[in-house]
Amino acid sequence: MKNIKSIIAVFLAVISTGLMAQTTANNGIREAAAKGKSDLLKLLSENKEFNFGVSAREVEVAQISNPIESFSTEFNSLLNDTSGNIATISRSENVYIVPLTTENKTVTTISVASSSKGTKVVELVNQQYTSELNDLPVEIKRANFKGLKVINVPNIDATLYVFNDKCYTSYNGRSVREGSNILEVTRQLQNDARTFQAKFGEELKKGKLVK
Amino acid sequence: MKTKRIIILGLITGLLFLTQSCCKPGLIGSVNNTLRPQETNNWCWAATTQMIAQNEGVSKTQCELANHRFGKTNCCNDEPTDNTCRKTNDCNSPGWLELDYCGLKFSESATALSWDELKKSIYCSKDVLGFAYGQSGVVGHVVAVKGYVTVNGTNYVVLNDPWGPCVGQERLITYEEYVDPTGAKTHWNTWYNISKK
Repeated sequence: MKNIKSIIAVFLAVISTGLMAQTTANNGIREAAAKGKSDLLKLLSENKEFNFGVSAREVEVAQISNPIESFSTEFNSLLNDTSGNIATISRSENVYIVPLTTENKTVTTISVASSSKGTKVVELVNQQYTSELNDLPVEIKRANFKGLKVINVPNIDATLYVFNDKCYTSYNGRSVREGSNILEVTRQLQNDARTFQAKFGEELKKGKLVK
Repeated sequence: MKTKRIIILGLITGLLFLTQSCCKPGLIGSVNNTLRPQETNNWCWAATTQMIAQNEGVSKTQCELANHRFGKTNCCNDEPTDNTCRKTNDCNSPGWLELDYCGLKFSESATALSWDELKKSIYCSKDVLGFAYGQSGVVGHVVAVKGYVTVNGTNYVVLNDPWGPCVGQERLITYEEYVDPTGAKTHWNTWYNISKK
């Protein structure tokens, strides 16, 4: 009986420590995003020489929404994947896309990097994320993006939004408004990755290329 | 008469040198540079070359650059399956900056410029810089650096990013992100000190 009590106590302690660590990390990301918002607001208020597609007024009234964790697919794993699920061959980049929203509309995003060294802003304004987050189905926006992940697939430039095992992407004529089966999207990406590799794999071994 | 001319020329050169070396960049600096979105999925190199070249008064289209790079003549054809600005898929391939072909001379560095160097390049020399980044074994990305600003103690770099195709975007990254991009990506190259040959 005593043993069972001890095991339960240790189990609860481990869970609460994990939850506390997660909350602390989440708070750090939100604090960094708040600093990014403050910087962007100051920049937009005081300087008119840049065009970031967002106004100071929009940023001022926007709320900091839930951070969206960003993942990057291992290209070689995609080439040889048999799991059929791109989420399992993608690694966290330790970067979080934080939407600034007003009434379910994303006005812009702040990107925050989090590592053992600390949490910091890395990017203000990303119009691709802003536009695509606005096009996602309303239930994802109503949930303030909680549970949403973004996966970037290198070389073939696919950006996937994964929510409740559904995949939303504008890749290759698809629409982020409609969820697709993740296995089906992974198959298509794998075919395209193999085509890319056949076409440019050797050239890439010889030197750097950009696209 | 000849000596007088040499003295005047010397004075002008000296004055120009002094003006340049005395130039002190402000907290914000930018170069007026029109954003050129890339005209295929793979043409960030062509769009960035175009933006850098236009800053030096050289006009080149992205498809001209692609024709040159790939030794083709059809890269200016529109892509028939698409009604945006996209050019033919036959030339839709990655590449590298083509500044030499545009008649430009330049310096390049595999490491990032210091904050002071970057500010001087933009504020004093009015250069638009090229910045390539990526990870080993994967195709990277190149953008034009057109400005900088310090806000609340944080240094930011302003980019004319040719991605996405036919859209592009003006965006801001921290100077730290320019020096050492997050994740597996690294700084690959900065093109600076650009002028006509």
